[in-house]
Amino acid sequence: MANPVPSACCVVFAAVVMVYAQKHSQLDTHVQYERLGTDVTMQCGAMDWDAAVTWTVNGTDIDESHLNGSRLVLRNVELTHSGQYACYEGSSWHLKYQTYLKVGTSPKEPVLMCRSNNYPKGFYCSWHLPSPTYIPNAFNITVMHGPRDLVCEKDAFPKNRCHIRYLQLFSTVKYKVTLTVTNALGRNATTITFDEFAIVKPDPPENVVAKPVSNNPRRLEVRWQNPSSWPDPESFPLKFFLRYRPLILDQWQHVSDLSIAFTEGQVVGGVVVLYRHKPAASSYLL
Amino acid sequence: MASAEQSPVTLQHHNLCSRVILLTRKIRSDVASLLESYVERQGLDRTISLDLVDGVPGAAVEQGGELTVAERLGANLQAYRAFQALLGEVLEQQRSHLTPLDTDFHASIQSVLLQVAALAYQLEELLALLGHGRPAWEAAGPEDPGRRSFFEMKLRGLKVLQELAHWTVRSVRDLRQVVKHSQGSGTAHGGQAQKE
Repeated sequence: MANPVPSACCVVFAAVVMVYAQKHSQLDTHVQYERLGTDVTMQCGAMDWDAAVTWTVNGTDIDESHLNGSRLVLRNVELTHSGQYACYEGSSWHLKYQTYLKVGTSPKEPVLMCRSNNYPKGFYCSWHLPSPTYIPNAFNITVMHGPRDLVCEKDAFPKNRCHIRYLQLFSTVKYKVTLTVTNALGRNATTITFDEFAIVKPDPPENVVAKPVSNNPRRLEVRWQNPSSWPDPESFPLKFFLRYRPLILDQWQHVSDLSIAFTEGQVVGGVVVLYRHKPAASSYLL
Repeated sequence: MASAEQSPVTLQHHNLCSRVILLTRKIRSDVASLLESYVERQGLDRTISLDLVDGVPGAAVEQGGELTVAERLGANLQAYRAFQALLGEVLEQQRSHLTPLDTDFHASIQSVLLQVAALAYQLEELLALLGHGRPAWEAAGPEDPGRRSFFEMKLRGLKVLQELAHWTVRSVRDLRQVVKHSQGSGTAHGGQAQKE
Protein backbone atom coordinates (compact mmCIF):
# COMPACT_ATOMS: atom_id res chain seq x y z
CA MET A 1 0.00 0.00 0.00
CA ALA A 2 1.27 3.37 -0.83
CA ASN A 3 2.22 5.81 1.92
CA PRO A 4 -0.34 8.73 1.88
CA VAL A 5 2.00 11.24 3.58
CA PRO A 6 4.40 11.84 0.74
CA SER A 7 1.44 12.27 -1.64
CA ALA A 8 -0.10 14.92 0.64
CA CYS A 9 3.25 16.70 0.86
CA CYS A 10 3.44 16.80 -2.90
CA VAL A 11 -0.02 18.33 -3.15
CA VAL A 12 0.85 21.04 -0.60
CA PHE A 13 4.16 21.77 -2.33
CA ALA A 14 2.45 21.99 -5.72
CA ALA A 15 -0.15 24.39 -4.30
CA VAL A 16 2.58 26.62 -2.87
CA VAL A 17 4.38 26.64 -6.20
CA MET A 18 1.14 27.55 -8.01
CA VAL A 19 0.37 30.42 -5.60
CA TYR A 20 3.96 31.65 -5.91
CA ALA A 21 3.77 31.47 -9.69
CA GLN A 22 0.43 33.30 -9.70
CA LYS A 23 1.80 36.08 -7.50
CA HIS A 24 4.74 36.50 -9.87
CA SER A 25 2.68 36.33 -13.04
CA GLN A 26 0.39 39.06 -11.70
CA LEU A 27 3.36 41.45 -11.73
CA ASP A 28 4.72 42.44 -15.09
CA THR A 29 8.47 42.50 -15.11
CA HIS A 30 8.90 45.52 -17.29
CA VAL A 31 12.19 47.01 -18.32
CA GLN A 32 12.98 50.48 -17.06
CA TYR A 33 15.58 52.41 -19.03
CA GLU A 34 17.39 55.23 -17.29
CA ARG A 35 20.04 57.65 -18.43
CA LEU A 36 23.57 57.23 -17.08
CA GLY A 37 24.33 59.77 -14.32
CA THR A 38 20.75 60.55 -13.39
CA ASP A 39 18.88 59.91 -10.10
CA VAL A 40 16.35 57.10 -10.27
CA THR A 41 13.40 56.71 -7.88
CA MET A 42 11.35 53.51 -7.80
CA GLN A 43 8.02 53.20 -6.08
CA CYS A 44 7.00 49.91 -4.43
CA GLY A 45 3.82 49.40 -6.41
CA ALA A 46 0.81 50.86 -4.57
CA MET A 47 2.43 50.66 -1.13
CA ASP A 48 2.15 53.69 1.13
CA TRP A 49 5.17 55.92 1.57
CA ASP A 50 5.61 54.85 5.19
CA ALA A 51 5.00 51.13 4.63
CA ALA A 52 7.73 48.70 5.68
CA VAL A 53 9.27 47.16 2.58
CA THR A 54 12.41 45.36 1.50
CA TRP A 55 14.11 46.05 -1.80
CA THR A 56 16.40 43.58 -3.54
CA VAL A 57 18.62 43.78 -6.57
CA ASN A 58 19.37 40.52 -8.36
CA GLY A 59 18.12 38.71 -5.20
CA THR A 60 20.33 40.60 -2.71
CA ASP A 61 18.83 42.94 -0.12
CA ILE A 62 19.49 46.64 -0.62
CA ASP A 63 20.72 48.67 2.31
CA GLU A 64 18.05 50.89 3.94
CA SER A 65 20.21 53.96 3.40
CA HIS A 66 18.98 53.92 -0.23
CA LEU A 67 15.35 54.17 0.85
CA ASN A 68 13.15 57.21 1.14
CA GLY A 69 10.20 55.73 2.99
CA SER A 70 9.14 52.78 0.88
CA ARG A 71 10.77 54.27 -2.23
CA LEU A 72 14.15 53.24 -3.52
CA VAL A 73 16.40 56.10 -4.56
CA LEU A 74 19.50 55.46 -6.67
CA ARG A 75 21.68 58.51 -7.08
CA ASN A 76 23.90 59.20 -10.12
CA VAL A 77 23.26 55.76 -11.64
CA GLU A 78 26.10 53.90 -13.28
CA LEU A 79 26.15 50.89 -15.57
CA THR A 80 26.65 48.65 -12.56
CA HIS A 81 23.22 49.67 -11.27
CA SER A 82 21.59 47.69 -14.07
CA GLY A 83 19.77 44.62 -12.78
CA GLN A 84 16.51 43.14 -11.55
CA TYR A 85 14.94 45.13 -8.75
CA ALA A 86 12.15 43.77 -6.56
CA CYS A 87 10.16 45.17 -3.66
CA TYR A 88 8.50 42.97 -0.97
CA GLU A 89 5.98 43.87 1.71
CA GLY A 90 7.81 43.90 5.04
CA SER A 91 5.78 41.40 7.07
CA SER A 92 4.31 39.06 4.46
CA TRP A 93 7.21 39.08 1.96
CA HIS A 94 4.67 39.41 -0.81
CA LEU A 95 6.22 40.66 -3.99
CA LYS A 96 4.71 44.07 -4.66
CA TYR A 97 6.80 45.39 -7.50
CA GLN A 98 9.60 44.32 -9.80
CA THR A 99 11.45 45.86 -12.68
CA TYR A 100 14.54 45.31 -14.75
CA LEU A 101 16.61 48.48 -14.67
CA LYS A 102 18.89 49.12 -17.64
CA VAL A 103 21.20 52.09 -17.46
CA GLY A 104 22.41 53.54 -20.76
CA THR A 105 22.62 56.60 -22.93
CA SER A 106 20.72 58.03 -25.87
CA PRO A 107 22.43 57.39 -29.22
CA LYS A 108 24.90 59.86 -30.65
CA GLU A 109 24.83 60.73 -34.37
CA PRO A 110 25.54 57.46 -36.19
CA VAL A 111 28.47 57.16 -38.60
CA LEU A 112 27.25 56.19 -42.06
CA MET A 113 29.18 55.39 -45.21
CA CYS A 114 28.21 54.04 -48.62
CA ARG A 115 30.46 52.41 -51.17
CA SER A 116 30.22 50.63 -54.50
CA ASN A 117 32.88 47.95 -54.92
CA ASN A 118 30.95 46.20 -57.68
CA TYR A 119 29.96 49.09 -59.92
CA PRO A 120 27.66 49.14 -61.91
CA LYS A 121 25.66 46.51 -60.02
CA GLY A 122 24.96 48.47 -56.87
CA PHE A 123 26.36 49.78 -53.62
CA TYR A 124 26.17 49.10 -49.93
CA CYS A 125 25.84 51.28 -46.87
CA SER A 126 27.20 50.41 -43.45
CA TRP A 127 26.97 52.19 -40.15
CA HIS A 128 28.03 52.20 -36.53
CA LEU A 129 27.60 54.32 -33.44
CA PRO A 130 30.55 56.42 -32.32
CA SER A 131 30.04 55.25 -28.72
CA PRO A 132 28.04 52.45 -27.07
CA THR A 133 24.61 53.13 -25.56
CA TYR A 134 24.56 49.93 -23.43
CA ILE A 135 20.90 49.39 -24.32
CA PRO A 136 19.25 48.01 -27.48
CA ASN A 137 19.17 50.29 -30.53
CA ALA A 138 17.02 50.06 -33.66
CA PHE A 139 18.32 51.36 -36.99
CA ASN A 140 16.19 52.48 -39.90
CA ILE A 141 17.71 53.38 -43.25
CA THR A 142 16.06 55.12 -46.19
CA VAL A 143 17.72 55.53 -49.58
CA MET A 144 16.38 58.05 -52.06
CA HIS A 145 17.47 58.68 -55.64
CA GLY A 146 15.72 61.87 -56.59
CA PRO A 147 12.06 61.14 -55.83
CA ARG A 148 12.53 57.34 -55.90
CA ASP A 149 12.66 55.32 -52.73
CA LEU A 150 15.19 52.47 -53.14
CA VAL A 151 15.17 49.18 -51.28
CA CYS A 152 18.13 48.49 -49.02
CA GLU A 153 18.40 44.75 -48.38
CA LYS A 154 19.93 44.03 -45.01
CA ASP A 155 22.60 41.40 -44.52
CA ALA A 156 22.08 38.64 -41.99
CA PHE A 157 25.67 39.29 -41.00
CA PRO A 158 27.04 41.84 -40.42
CA LYS A 159 23.82 43.40 -39.25
CA ASN A 160 24.98 46.96 -39.76
CA ARG A 161 25.06 46.75 -43.56
CA CYS A 162 22.56 46.74 -46.41
CA HIS A 163 22.76 46.55 -50.19
CA ILE A 164 21.12 48.71 -52.86
CA ARG A 165 20.86 47.85 -56.53
CA TYR A 166 21.36 50.69 -59.00
CA LEU A 167 18.09 51.19 -60.83
CA GLN A 168 19.63 53.89 -63.00
CA LEU A 169 23.16 54.28 -64.24
CA PHE A 170 25.17 57.35 -65.24
CA SER A 171 22.73 59.59 -63.45
CA THR A 172 23.77 62.98 -62.12
CA VAL A 173 20.83 62.97 -59.70
CA LYS A 174 22.19 62.66 -56.19
CA TYR A 175 21.54 59.81 -53.78
CA LYS A 176 20.35 60.70 -50.30
CA VAL A 177 20.71 58.17 -47.49
CA THR A 178 19.26 58.77 -44.05
CA LEU A 179 19.98 56.53 -41.11
CA THR A 180 17.91 56.93 -37.94
CA VAL A 181 18.87 55.24 -34.71
CA THR A 182 16.35 54.96 -31.90
CA ASN A 183 16.51 53.56 -28.41
CA ALA A 184 14.43 53.92 -25.25
CA LEU A 185 16.37 57.03 -24.24
CA GLY A 186 16.33 58.99 -27.50
CA ARG A 187 17.01 59.08 -31.20
CA ASN A 188 19.50 60.55 -33.63
CA ALA A 189 20.00 60.58 -37.39
CA THR A 190 22.60 61.09 -40.08
CA THR A 191 21.99 62.03 -43.71
CA ILE A 192 24.54 61.86 -46.50
CA THR A 193 24.14 62.82 -50.15
CA PHE A 194 26.46 61.74 -52.91
CA ASP A 195 26.87 61.25 -56.65
CA GLU A 196 26.80 57.83 -58.24
CA PHE A 197 30.50 57.93 -59.16
CA ALA A 198 31.67 59.47 -55.89
CA ILE A 199 31.24 56.26 -53.89
CA VAL A 200 32.90 53.93 -56.39
CA LYS A 201 35.83 52.34 -54.58
CA PRO A 202 37.03 49.01 -55.94
CA ASP A 203 38.49 46.30 -53.76
CA PRO A 204 42.28 45.82 -53.80
CA PRO A 205 43.99 43.95 -56.63
CA GLU A 206 44.18 40.20 -56.18
CA ASN A 207 46.85 37.56 -56.52
CA VAL A 208 49.66 40.07 -56.26
CA VAL A 209 52.92 38.25 -56.87
CA ALA A 210 56.44 39.64 -57.00
CA LYS A 211 59.18 37.31 -58.19
CA PRO A 212 62.80 37.69 -59.28
CA VAL A 213 63.57 38.05 -62.97
CA SER A 214 65.89 35.28 -64.14
CA ASN A 215 69.36 36.47 -65.15
CA ASN A 216 68.64 39.81 -63.59
CA PRO A 217 68.84 39.59 -59.80
CA ARG A 218 68.25 43.31 -59.34
CA ARG A 219 64.78 43.18 -60.88
CA LEU A 220 61.41 41.91 -59.77
CA GLU A 221 58.41 41.06 -61.88
CA VAL A 222 55.09 42.06 -60.39
CA ARG A 223 51.81 40.49 -61.46
CA TRP A 224 48.29 41.11 -60.26
CA GLN A 225 44.66 40.66 -61.22
CA ASN A 226 41.55 42.76 -61.07
CA PRO A 227 39.53 42.30 -57.88
CA SER A 228 37.04 39.50 -58.52
CA SER A 229 34.27 41.71 -57.13
CA TRP A 230 34.68 44.08 -60.09
CA PRO A 231 32.10 42.77 -62.58
CA ASP A 232 32.86 44.55 -65.86
CA PRO A 233 36.54 45.52 -66.09
CA GLU A 234 36.32 45.95 -69.85
CA SER A 235 33.76 48.74 -69.65
CA PHE A 236 35.10 50.14 -66.40
CA PRO A 237 38.84 49.48 -66.42
CA LEU A 238 40.76 50.05 -63.21
CA LYS A 239 43.96 51.96 -62.79
CA PHE A 240 46.61 50.68 -60.44
CA PHE A 241 49.30 52.36 -58.45
CA LEU A 242 52.43 50.53 -57.42
CA ARG A 243 55.03 51.56 -54.91
CA TYR A 244 58.27 49.89 -53.99
CA ARG A 245 61.51 50.52 -52.18
CA PRO A 246 64.80 48.74 -51.82
CA LEU A 247 65.25 47.51 -48.24
CA ILE A 248 68.20 49.83 -47.70
CA LEU A 249 66.22 52.96 -48.55
CA ASP A 250 63.41 54.62 -46.65
CA GLN A 251 61.79 56.39 -49.55
CA TRP A 252 59.10 54.76 -51.65
CA GLN A 253 59.10 54.94 -55.42
CA HIS A 254 55.78 55.23 -57.18
CA VAL A 255 54.53 53.93 -60.51
CA SER A 256 51.13 55.33 -61.38
CA ASP A 257 48.47 54.90 -64.04
CA LEU A 258 49.09 51.21 -64.60
CA SER A 259 46.26 49.44 -66.32
CA ILE A 260 45.57 45.75 -66.33
CA ALA A 261 46.93 45.58 -69.89
CA PHE A 262 50.38 46.09 -68.38
CA THR A 263 50.36 43.26 -65.92
CA GLU A 264 54.09 42.79 -66.09
CA GLY A 265 55.69 45.82 -64.56
CA GLN A 266 59.37 45.45 -63.83
CA VAL A 267 60.75 47.24 -60.83
CA VAL A 268 64.09 47.44 -59.09
CA GLY A 269 64.50 44.78 -56.41
CA GLY A 270 63.52 45.42 -52.82
CA VAL A 271 60.19 45.36 -51.05
CA VAL A 272 57.33 45.54 -53.50
CA VAL A 273 53.95 46.69 -52.34
CA LEU A 274 50.82 47.18 -54.41
CA TYR A 275 48.28 49.34 -52.79
CA ARG A 276 44.97 50.96 -53.47
CA HIS A 277 45.33 54.64 -54.07
CA LYS A 278 42.79 56.91 -52.42
CA PRO A 279 42.16 59.89 -54.66
CA ALA A 280 38.68 61.03 -55.65
CA ALA A 281 36.82 57.82 -56.28
CA SER A 282 35.87 58.73 -59.82
CA SER A 283 39.46 58.42 -60.92
CA TYR A 284 39.04 54.68 -60.82
CA LEU A 285 36.99 55.04 -63.92
CA LEU A 286 38.54 55.93 -67.23
CA MET B 1 40.15 40.25 -80.37
CA ALA B 2 39.95 40.02 -84.15
CA SER B 3 40.26 36.53 -85.55
CA ALA B 4 41.44 35.41 -88.98
CA GLU B 5 37.85 34.51 -89.91
CA GLN B 6 36.51 38.03 -89.47
CA SER B 7 35.49 39.94 -92.56
CA PRO B 8 37.16 43.24 -93.49
CA VAL B 9 33.96 45.06 -92.53
CA THR B 10 33.99 43.46 -89.08
CA LEU B 11 37.64 44.34 -88.62
CA GLN B 12 36.95 47.90 -89.70
CA HIS B 13 34.06 47.99 -87.28
CA HIS B 14 36.22 46.74 -84.40
CA ASN B 15 38.97 49.20 -85.21
CA LEU B 16 36.51 52.05 -85.35
CA CYS B 17 34.92 50.97 -82.06
CA SER B 18 38.36 50.85 -80.45
CA ARG B 19 39.16 54.33 -81.73
CA VAL B 20 35.84 55.67 -80.43
CA ILE B 21 36.47 54.09 -77.01
CA LEU B 22 39.97 55.58 -76.84
CA LEU B 23 38.69 59.02 -77.78
CA THR B 24 35.85 58.74 -75.26
CA ARG B 25 38.30 57.88 -72.48
CA LYS B 26 40.50 60.80 -73.47
CA ILE B 27 37.49 63.14 -73.32
CA ARG B 28 36.54 61.72 -69.92
CA SER B 29 40.01 62.43 -68.59
CA ASP B 30 40.01 65.96 -70.02
CA VAL B 31 36.50 66.73 -68.78
CA ALA B 32 37.44 65.59 -65.28
CA SER B 33 40.30 68.11 -65.25
CA LEU B 34 38.12 70.77 -66.84
CA LEU B 35 35.46 70.26 -64.17
CA GLU B 36 38.03 70.88 -61.45
CA SER B 37 39.19 74.13 -62.99
CA TYR B 38 35.62 75.15 -63.86
CA VAL B 39 34.29 75.00 -60.28
CA GLU B 40 37.42 76.76 -59.05
CA ARG B 41 37.19 79.60 -61.56
CA GLN B 42 33.43 80.08 -61.19
CA GLY B 43 33.58 79.89 -57.40
CA LEU B 44 31.09 77.01 -57.31
CA ASP B 45 30.71 74.06 -55.02
CA ARG B 46 30.59 70.64 -56.71
CA THR B 47 27.75 69.61 -54.42
CA ILE B 48 25.43 72.39 -55.56
CA SER B 49 22.09 71.10 -56.82
CA LEU B 50 21.68 71.30 -60.58
CA ASP B 51 18.31 69.57 -60.73
CA LEU B 52 16.55 72.67 -62.04
CA VAL B 53 18.95 73.17 -64.96
CA ASP B 54 17.28 71.72 -68.03
CA GLY B 55 18.09 71.37 -71.70
CA VAL B 56 21.19 69.23 -71.14
CA PRO B 57 21.03 65.62 -72.37
CA GLY B 58 21.04 63.31 -69.37
CA ALA B 59 23.20 60.21 -69.48
CA ALA B 60 20.97 58.31 -67.04
CA VAL B 61 19.73 54.97 -68.27
CA GLU B 62 17.53 52.40 -66.56
CA GLN B 63 19.24 49.18 -65.53
CA GLY B 64 17.78 46.25 -67.44
CA GLY B 65 16.44 48.42 -70.26
CA GLU B 66 16.81 46.97 -73.74
CA LEU B 67 18.31 48.95 -76.58
CA THR B 68 19.18 47.96 -80.13
CA VAL B 69 22.63 48.77 -81.46
CA ALA B 70 21.10 51.53 -83.60
CA GLU B 71 19.25 53.01 -80.63
CA ARG B 72 22.32 52.82 -78.43
CA LEU B 73 24.63 54.49 -80.93
CA GLY B 74 21.91 56.93 -82.04
CA ALA B 75 21.38 58.12 -78.45
CA ASN B 76 25.14 58.66 -78.08
CA LEU B 77 25.36 60.55 -81.34
CA GLN B 78 22.43 62.83 -80.49
CA ALA B 79 23.95 63.54 -77.09
CA TYR B 80 27.37 64.50 -78.44
CA ARG B 81 25.80 66.65 -81.13
CA ALA B 82 23.93 68.48 -78.37
CA PHE B 83 27.14 68.79 -76.32
CA GLN B 84 28.88 70.37 -79.32
CA ALA B 85 26.28 73.14 -79.28
CA LEU B 86 26.21 73.40 -75.49
CA LEU B 87 30.00 73.57 -75.14
CA GLY B 88 30.00 76.26 -77.83
CA GLU B 89 27.54 78.23 -75.67
CA VAL B 90 29.61 77.68 -72.54
CA LEU B 91 32.76 78.82 -74.32
CA GLU B 92 31.06 81.92 -75.68
CA GLN B 93 29.67 82.86 -72.25
CA GLN B 94 33.10 82.43 -70.67
CA ARG B 95 34.74 84.56 -73.35
CA SER B 96 32.10 87.30 -73.35
CA HIS B 97 30.98 87.50 -69.73
CA LEU B 98 32.44 85.22 -67.12
CA THR B 99 36.21 84.86 -67.65
CA PRO B 100 37.06 87.15 -70.61
CA LEU B 101 40.82 87.22 -69.89
CA ASP B 102 41.37 83.55 -69.10
CA THR B 103 42.49 82.31 -72.50
CA ASP B 104 44.06 79.10 -71.14
CA PHE B 105 40.70 78.14 -69.70
CA HIS B 106 39.00 78.92 -73.00
CA ALA B 107 41.54 76.75 -74.78
CA SER B 108 40.79 73.80 -72.54
CA ILE B 109 37.04 74.14 -73.23
CA GLN B 110 37.79 74.48 -76.94
CA SER B 111 39.91 71.34 -76.82
CA VAL B 112 37.07 69.31 -75.30
CA LEU B 113 34.65 70.82 -77.80
CA LEU B 114 36.81 69.71 -80.73
CA GLN B 115 37.14 66.22 -79.31
CA VAL B 116 33.38 65.99 -78.83
CA ALA B 117 32.89 67.05 -82.46
CA ALA B 118 35.36 64.35 -83.55
CA LEU B 119 33.54 61.78 -81.41
CA ALA B 120 30.18 62.70 -82.99
CA TYR B 121 31.75 62.29 -86.41
CA GLN B 122 33.20 58.88 -85.51
CA LEU B 123 29.83 57.74 -84.18
CA GLU B 124 28.23 58.79 -87.46
CA GLU B 125 30.86 56.73 -89.29
CA LEU B 126 30.18 53.75 -87.05
CA LEU B 127 26.44 53.96 -87.63
CA ALA B 128 26.99 54.13 -91.37
CA LEU B 129 29.39 51.18 -91.25
CA LEU B 130 26.82 49.13 -89.39
CA GLY B 131 24.22 49.97 -92.01
CA HIS B 132 22.11 52.25 -89.86
CA GLY B 133 20.90 55.67 -90.91
CA ARG B 134 22.20 58.77 -89.19
CA PRO B 135 19.61 60.34 -86.92
CA ALA B 136 18.57 63.82 -87.97
CA TRP B 137 19.90 66.80 -86.04
CA GLU B 138 17.41 67.72 -83.37
CA ALA B 139 16.21 71.30 -83.25
CA ALA B 140 17.76 73.52 -80.60
CA GLY B 141 15.73 74.29 -77.48
CA PRO B 142 13.46 77.34 -77.34
CA GLU B 143 15.42 79.02 -74.54
CA ASP B 144 17.20 82.26 -75.24
CA PRO B 145 20.67 82.09 -73.63
CA GLY B 146 20.86 85.89 -73.54
CA ARG B 147 18.16 85.99 -70.87
CA ARG B 148 20.14 84.03 -68.29
CA SER B 149 21.84 85.66 -65.34
CA PHE B 150 25.58 85.14 -64.90
CA PHE B 151 24.90 82.72 -62.05
CA GLU B 152 22.53 80.71 -64.22
CA MET B 153 25.21 80.59 -66.92
CA LYS B 154 27.71 79.22 -64.41
CA LEU B 155 25.30 76.55 -63.20
CA ARG B 156 24.41 75.56 -66.73
CA GLY B 157 28.08 75.23 -67.66
CA LEU B 158 28.64 72.99 -64.67
CA LYS B 159 25.66 70.84 -65.59
CA VAL B 160 26.95 70.53 -69.18
CA LEU B 161 30.36 69.33 -67.98
CA GLN B 162 28.92 66.99 -65.37
CA GLU B 163 26.54 65.32 -67.80
CA LEU B 164 29.27 65.13 -70.44
CA ALA B 165 31.52 63.37 -67.91
CA HIS B 166 28.75 60.85 -67.21
CA TRP B 167 28.07 60.37 -70.91
CA THR B 168 31.68 59.46 -71.59
CA VAL B 169 31.49 56.66 -69.00
CA ARG B 170 28.21 55.47 -70.45
CA SER B 171 29.57 55.58 -74.00
CA VAL B 172 32.51 53.30 -73.20
CA ARG B 173 30.07 50.76 -71.82
CA ASP B 174 27.72 51.21 -74.79
CA LEU B 175 30.57 50.72 -77.23
CA ARG B 176 31.71 47.60 -75.37
CA GLN B 177 28.15 46.27 -75.63
CA VAL B 178 28.11 46.97 -79.38
CA VAL B 179 31.43 45.14 -79.82
CA LYS B 180 30.20 42.21 -77.73
CA HIS B 181 26.97 42.06 -79.66
CA SER B 182 28.69 42.00 -83.02
CA GLN B 183 31.09 39.30 -81.78
CA GLY B 184 28.13 37.28 -80.53
CA SER B 185 26.15 37.61 -83.74
CA GLY B 186 29.25 37.07 -85.91
CA THR B 187 28.41 40.08 -88.03
CA ALA B 188 29.02 43.77 -87.96
CA HIS B 189 25.36 44.48 -88.64
CA GLY B 190 23.35 44.33 -85.42
CA GLY B 191 19.75 45.30 -85.03
CA GLN B 192 18.40 43.12 -82.27
CA ALA B 193 17.77 44.31 -78.78
CA GLN B 194 20.47 43.65 -76.21
CA LYS B 195 20.03 43.34 -72.52
CA GLU B 196 21.80 45.92 -70.37
